[in-house]
Amino acid sequence: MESDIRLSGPTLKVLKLLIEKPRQGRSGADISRALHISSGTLYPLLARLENAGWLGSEWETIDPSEAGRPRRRFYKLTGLGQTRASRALAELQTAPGVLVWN
Amino acid sequence: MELIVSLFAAIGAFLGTVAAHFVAHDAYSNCPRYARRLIERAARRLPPFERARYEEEWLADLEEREGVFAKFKHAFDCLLCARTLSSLSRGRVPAYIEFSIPDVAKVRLDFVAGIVALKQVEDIFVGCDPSSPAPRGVHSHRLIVELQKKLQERYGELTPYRPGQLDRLTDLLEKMVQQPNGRRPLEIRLILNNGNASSWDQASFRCP
Repeated sequence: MESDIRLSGPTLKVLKLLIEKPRQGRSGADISRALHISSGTLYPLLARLENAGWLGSEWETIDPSEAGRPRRRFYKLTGLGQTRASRALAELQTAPGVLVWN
Repeated sequence: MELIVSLFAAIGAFLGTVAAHFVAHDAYSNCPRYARRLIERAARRLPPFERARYEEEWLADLEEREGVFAKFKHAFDCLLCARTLSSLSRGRVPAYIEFSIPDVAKVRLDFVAGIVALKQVEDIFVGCDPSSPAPRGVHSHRLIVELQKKLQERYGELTPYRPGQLDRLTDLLEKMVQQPNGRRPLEIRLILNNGNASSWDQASFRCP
């Protein structure tokens, strides 16, 4: 499964952001704003991570008609995602001469 | 003569400025609407079982963007990434169940969400017609067995369950209850993709 994921710079940034507070779901807009990643890059990236089982997502629990806006979708790391992301980020930080994403 | 030309030029410049202001104001006030249209168009490029999810998600994202440029950029990005998302979805098991009440409304759910929904629907629909010879639970049980068999033959695995989809079914059921002529039949269709976006197998069922 892990080999299916291409750990590009933006992917690592997203994983790093999500692993900081693994229980807190973050919306696409939230991630995009925090990391300055465009929607065109972010949504396919999230879909790949979700298809690989690294991320789970769920709808915001509001009534759109009452709130007057559509529901947001929150992404967070699964157990598998936390394990794999921790490993990937650790390998990246220990590898000599490799760029570390802040 | 020069005075008249200058006067007309000044009036023309003034009117041009006013017109440009109106156009800019119009574009600014209509920006969210145009951006929403772009997102709806982007969602239509996705496979049917992904459209509702991404349309709602992207529209919610649009609400959070501030400024005309940011909104349009998000909308265009969605339009551009729809093709990539569409190709990613092709690798997943594309199957869903459509519940519909003829001439009222319909809702599509991922397969697993559909199975969960069927269990809820059973209490409402199956056995509600006293003239039906089928005892309570037979219709949905047979349906579930048949659906699972078809899916296992073809794919061997199921789409992931997505919480929240059942809300749409609840809306549908509420619409049905509000019908003046009482309950109507619920049609259930299993829709399987053959791996080609334009090729779908369909099987229909009808609950009393």
